[in-house]
Amino acid sequence: MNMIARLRSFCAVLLWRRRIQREMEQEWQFHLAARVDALLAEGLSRDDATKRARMEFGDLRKWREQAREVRGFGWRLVSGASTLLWDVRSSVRSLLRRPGWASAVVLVLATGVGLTTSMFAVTDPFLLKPLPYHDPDRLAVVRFGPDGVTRGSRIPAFTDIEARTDLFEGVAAYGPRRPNRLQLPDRTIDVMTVGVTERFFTTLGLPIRMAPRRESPDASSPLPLIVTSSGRQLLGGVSVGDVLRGEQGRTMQVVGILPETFIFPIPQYSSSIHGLVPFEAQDVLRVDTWTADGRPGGRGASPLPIIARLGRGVTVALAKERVSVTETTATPLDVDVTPLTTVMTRETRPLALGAMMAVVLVLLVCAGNTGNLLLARTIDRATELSTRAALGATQAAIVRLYGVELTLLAITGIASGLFVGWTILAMIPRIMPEQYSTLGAPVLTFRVALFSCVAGAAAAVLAGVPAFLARLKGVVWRDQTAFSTDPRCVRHLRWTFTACQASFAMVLAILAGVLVGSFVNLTRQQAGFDRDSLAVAASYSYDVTSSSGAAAAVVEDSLFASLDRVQRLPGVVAAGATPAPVVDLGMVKESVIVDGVTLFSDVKPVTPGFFAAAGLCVVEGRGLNDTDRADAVVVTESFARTYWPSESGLDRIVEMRPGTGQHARVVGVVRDVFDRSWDAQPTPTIFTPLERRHLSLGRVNYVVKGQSGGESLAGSVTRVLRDVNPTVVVTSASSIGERLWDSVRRRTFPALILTLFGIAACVITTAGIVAIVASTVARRKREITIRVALGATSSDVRRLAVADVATAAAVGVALGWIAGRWLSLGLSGVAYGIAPGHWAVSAVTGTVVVAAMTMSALVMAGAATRVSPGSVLKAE
Amino acid sequence: MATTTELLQGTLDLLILKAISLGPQHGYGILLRIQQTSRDLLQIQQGSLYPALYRLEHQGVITSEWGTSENNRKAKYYRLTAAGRRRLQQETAYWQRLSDGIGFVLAAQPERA
Repeated sequence: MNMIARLRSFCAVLLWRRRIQREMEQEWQFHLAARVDALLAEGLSRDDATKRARMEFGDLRKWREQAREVRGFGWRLVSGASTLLWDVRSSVRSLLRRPGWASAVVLVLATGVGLTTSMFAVTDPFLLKPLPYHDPDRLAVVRFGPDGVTRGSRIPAFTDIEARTDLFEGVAAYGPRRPNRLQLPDRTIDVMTVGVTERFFTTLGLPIRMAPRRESPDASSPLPLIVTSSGRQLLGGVSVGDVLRGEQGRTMQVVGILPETFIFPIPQYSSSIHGLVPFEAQDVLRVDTWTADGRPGGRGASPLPIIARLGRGVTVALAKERVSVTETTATPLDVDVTPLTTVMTRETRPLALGAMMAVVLVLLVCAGNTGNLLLARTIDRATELSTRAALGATQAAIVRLYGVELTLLAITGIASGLFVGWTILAMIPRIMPEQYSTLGAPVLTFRVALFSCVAGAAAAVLAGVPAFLARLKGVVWRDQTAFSTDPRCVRHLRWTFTACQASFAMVLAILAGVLVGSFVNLTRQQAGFDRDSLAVAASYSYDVTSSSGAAAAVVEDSLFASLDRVQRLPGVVAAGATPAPVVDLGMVKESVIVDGVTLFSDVKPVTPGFFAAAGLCVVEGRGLNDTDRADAVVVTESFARTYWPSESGLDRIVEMRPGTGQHARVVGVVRDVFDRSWDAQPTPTIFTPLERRHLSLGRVNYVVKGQSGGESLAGSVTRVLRDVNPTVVVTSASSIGERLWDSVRRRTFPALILTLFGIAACVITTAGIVAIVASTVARRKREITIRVALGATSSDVRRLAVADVATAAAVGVALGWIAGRWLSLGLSGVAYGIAPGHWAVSAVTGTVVVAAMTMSALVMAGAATRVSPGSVLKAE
Repeated sequence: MATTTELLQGTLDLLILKAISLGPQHGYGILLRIQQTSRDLLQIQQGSLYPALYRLEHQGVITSEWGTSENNRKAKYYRLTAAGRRRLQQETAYWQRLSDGIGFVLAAQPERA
């Protein structure tokens, strides 16, 4: 076999196909001419000689076909490409003749693909994509709880866990986030760092080595810093080896820069960490505060979690069982071993699944709509297709033409959809809660584009198959001339498509209705704060170390000096401060004794001005004032209601810090405030006068009430805080309204997404119904004219135009309504103040959708009543 | 009794190669040469010659170029390549063995069988 010759032949066919064909014809002409000459010489007439020469040569078409075949794959390839090109040209011309129809198909597909693209980009990291660590299924988070630990016993130290090589291949820990102020040549910036243990990266399976823990940190030697991609942006492009100057002569040296793909293995940290430093705490797992009954309590009661790489063959259950039993504890420890993937996706995975379900429903609605459009087109082209068939086009050729046309539409629709998705993705980070970007910001990657293409193609195939089968069976063009109405199989297919669309749209509408109702309830919820005029600034003094009384005194001085300056700012009505979180999920719980019962309650130390600044409503007694010391407290209504249900809470005695003999009298009761988040029911809380000991962590939240907007106030307060104490880091400053909205984004984002999906599905379905009615009216003009001439009224004509589609839509809506109510039960985790599956919500949503569909269909059917007999006759 | 013989399947290639081995020739000339050398015993359907020629050219055993015929017409002439000569030898040897074998079978006498 001469491969070179074959390759040469293949290339020749690719490059010079027309020339080869031309030369073949010339060669045969020569043959025939030579044969004719020979026959003429034998005495035949020219006509007879020509006829005989042709007869002897045989069937030209057959030889031509065989001549192409023997040239191998090249010829078949080129020949196929040529046919395809012709089909493409023909299809493009055909589509351009019906631009409205083609645009409708492309628009519907683009909507479906666009929504799919954007949602898949958001949800993929939580549903399908593996975590960006080596063998992430073997990573787990080990977390110890307070149960099983009693005074005298101890939770295993980090080194104890590290020594369990029978269970873990690697163990790593990290400390709390900590702000650091750095002096750059042109500015001062605050970077958030977290300490990680030496084997942090190797445990994750990343080829990076962290500097070892420094046993005796030397202030003069720079602290090794590994910068994250967000840190690099903040620092303005640092490189390895750069030394950064911090406060009080401390320095940091950049020893590494993490790639953009790095994700910190704790969701709360992943987007807010600028750098990683060696972990300096003596022991990751420690309990340093105990309750009166000998249980861990207060600060330090919850040891930091550990990230562990399970050994080969070690399951999560086995690790949990073996770690919970130690020699130093009487009862098994309360230990939780959870796969890291679960920890990273626990909160977002259910919502991601819901979003993808909505995507599937919208795609099905789009497929149904496109299917109806394709059927309508098939009927419109019945005459053309019959003509083609009569002129000799094979059924295969007609089907191929249909396939090419559908492919062109699908490609255009998918390409447009990718553009729509890209546009949505450019806008989505503005409204997306931070928790959805913990595993990476949603972007249009190749993987996302591929998924969208496959989904779009599946929708196009789903839509195209019925019309394809109708053409294949020849039903449409054979029956078309016999009936003025559409063929039965087409009517059935259209009915099914419409019913499915209406059903899926209804499901989405009901789900969206539940979330919109939930959103309305949220906005009506009184948070207990004045949302418009309140600003909150969170500050941190990073030089404070725990149990440092001297440092706490500095913070206290700085706090009161700052409050004094803030109160003198123009437009400020009142200012207060608290080290406790304000509209934040964090909380400070302490043991207190009420009527002889030890409780673990929220305790908020506040300055006297806090009540006036936060706008807390005093319902009994008074708020705290300058003269109050540790012997006076204020409780919330829920606290009083819980512990003194039938009596007043005033003048009750509460033992604070059990064991210290500190008793406090309740001097006032205030209304509950939503100070954790806008949707979290307030917990019973005690307000106590702020003492120096409360400031040992260095965190202070300033609450400032102004005459105007809280947002503008936040900036002024920040400047004052930095001015009074330059070492203070202001970690956030915003209006309380902003904080409240941020706290419920996990509810508002799905509501917004599902509402958009619901609206898109309903609009597409309604447009589909309108298109079917319009198409019916256009095709049955003659029949309508005759009916009108025979005395049919306007309502008769309207009924005729919408009868089929109305039945299908009604059945679909009914089924969708039932399914939607059932599926909405799954929204109980995100719905607020509304019971999913509630009749009222379903009824209102259903009525709105049905009204929209009916009105649109009837308006379009009105065109049927305006059909002019004259114009119909003229057209014929 | 028929005066011409139908070609056996697969023998056209051998005949074409042999005809061309006698000197470069165009398609019609190859046809005449086969008929003449077979003393008009072998009859080839004329059009079928060309797919066979193109197949052999595609396989690289013959090559073609345009030239001028004896009556001054533009014609395509085919000639053997080195691979074609080897192929002709192989095909000829194969045919000889086949023909001998068939000959022996046909010459067999009842007492020898």
